[in-house]
Amino acid sequence: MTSLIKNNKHIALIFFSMAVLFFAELKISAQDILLSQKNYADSLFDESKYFDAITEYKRLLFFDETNQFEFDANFKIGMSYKLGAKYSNSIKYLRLAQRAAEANEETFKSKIEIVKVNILRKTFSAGKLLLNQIEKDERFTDRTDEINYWRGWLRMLSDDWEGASESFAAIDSLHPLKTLSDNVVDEKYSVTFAKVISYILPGSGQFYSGKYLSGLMSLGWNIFAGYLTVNSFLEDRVFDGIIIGNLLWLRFYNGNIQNAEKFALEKNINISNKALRYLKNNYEGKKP
Amino acid sequence: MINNFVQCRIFFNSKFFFYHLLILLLFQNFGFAQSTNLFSPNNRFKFGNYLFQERDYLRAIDEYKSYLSTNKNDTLNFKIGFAYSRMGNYSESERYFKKLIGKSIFIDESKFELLKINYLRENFSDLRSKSFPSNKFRTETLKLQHYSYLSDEIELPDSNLLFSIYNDDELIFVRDFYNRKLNPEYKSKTFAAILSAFIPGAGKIYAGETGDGITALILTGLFSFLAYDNFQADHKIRAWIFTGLSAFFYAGNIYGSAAAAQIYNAGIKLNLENEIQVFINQKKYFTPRYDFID
Repeated sequence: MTSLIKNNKHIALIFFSMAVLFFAELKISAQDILLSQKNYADSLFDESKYFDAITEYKRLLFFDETNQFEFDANFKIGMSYKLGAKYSNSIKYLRLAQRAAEANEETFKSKIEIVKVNILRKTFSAGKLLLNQIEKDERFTDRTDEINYWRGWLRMLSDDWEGASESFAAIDSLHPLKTLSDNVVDEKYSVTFAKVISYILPGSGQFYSGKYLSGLMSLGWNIFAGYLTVNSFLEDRVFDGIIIGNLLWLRFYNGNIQNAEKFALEKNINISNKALRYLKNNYEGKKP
Repeated sequence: MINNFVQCRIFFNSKFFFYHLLILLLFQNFGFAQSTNLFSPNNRFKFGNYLFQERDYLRAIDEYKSYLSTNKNDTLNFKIGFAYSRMGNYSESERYFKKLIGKSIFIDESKFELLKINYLRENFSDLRSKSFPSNKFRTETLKLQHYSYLSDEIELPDSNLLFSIYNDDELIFVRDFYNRKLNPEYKSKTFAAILSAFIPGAGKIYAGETGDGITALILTGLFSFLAYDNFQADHKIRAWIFTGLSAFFYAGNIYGSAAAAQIYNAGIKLNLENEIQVFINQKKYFTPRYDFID
């Protein structure tokens, strides 16, 4: 009887030890497997295979029961969608990453990425709102330069070059993007000025925008229509004068002002586009 | 009692026990390997289901296909067909549904999905020509087939036939679409042109372009008056110029009125087509609820 109990004890001990070993192995192996899955997904991401990377990060999320990779996986899915130009999906996953963030750095990182995606998809008001929220957040008081940098980018891409210059000046008065923004502001034509001088002297707005032939044509037509109108009144053909004045002269006069505005706007768009092309192709700093 | 202890002792001391334990642990390890291999067929199956629920159909299809390379599963074949259909890849979708007809439990579901593809491809006559022998989705099928008359360009059938199958909520919309399709509130191009011939601009006003109509009336009237006035004053050249202008505006307005009526009619037709499409989208093409998909 004693021997039987003794034997049972040994068996129970062996069984217990094996069970402990088994479950320990299970836990360690599960960790290893998830980690290797993350590494695999990361390698796909690094190779720019974004579709596959998203699949593998989603697989990681699905099998990660303890949610230890929730931030990393969601963030990388968001980044993959961003790099694949699927901006709405990108924001969805970056928001999930933001929710899963534990450290302040992670929260900041995901929020800034959301701002960058908003810049890329041209939803500037949403980006601006989020930047204001980040700026007011006490956790990120030491990240003002970064906030100003992305605010500057947001303003540049929303064609607010003066605002962009202010934002970059808040980082450094000699910041290269401040210089670029200032140059754009200096190069741009004043649309209001072009219109005002066209009111005073038809065609001058076009001259100001560098459209000399158009300016001359506009001036010529206005002189001709003006002559016809005035001549009608001088010859006491009041009705003719009113009709010619309204249907001919006023049409050329208005057309001259609209043209002045249109040409100034076109020139400004070209100047902005030239600066944006430089940012896209030649600028080596951080980009959205 | 003593007998039991003796039996126990024999069991624990026997080689059988240790072999048993060894086999048990081996199986446990095998099971563990299955559960921890994220790319095992079972895990691909589970992950595929998750992706399908997330409506990430393209990835779900990949997972299901991988599972099906080692296993057979008609539900997954159906879900692949369904996913392709949702993605707008109708030829692949058809291929999967056709595979299921005749040799699976999803015959009726597959047939219904094939009908739905006919609707989505606007093959309305094909859709209506298919008979549906099973009673399982008879109502849904008839609803879809009858509704296709509203999207088609052919003559509408008798309203009693069309309305009989829908419930009260659906009937409100179907009846409205039917009536609007049968008697569209079109404007007559000829009438618009004739109106403008009598009173310049009236045709435009009739076609809903009130502002343009009034402008046309004023301009034609003004140029006609100028022409008349210049003829009276013996300024013949100017008189003929204004006569030409007024004739140009007059003729242009007649043509413009007919065009405005045509644009108005196109708008009415387009609006109705949009509403018909929005309604059937909301009703999910009268698709029955598939429990195995939810």
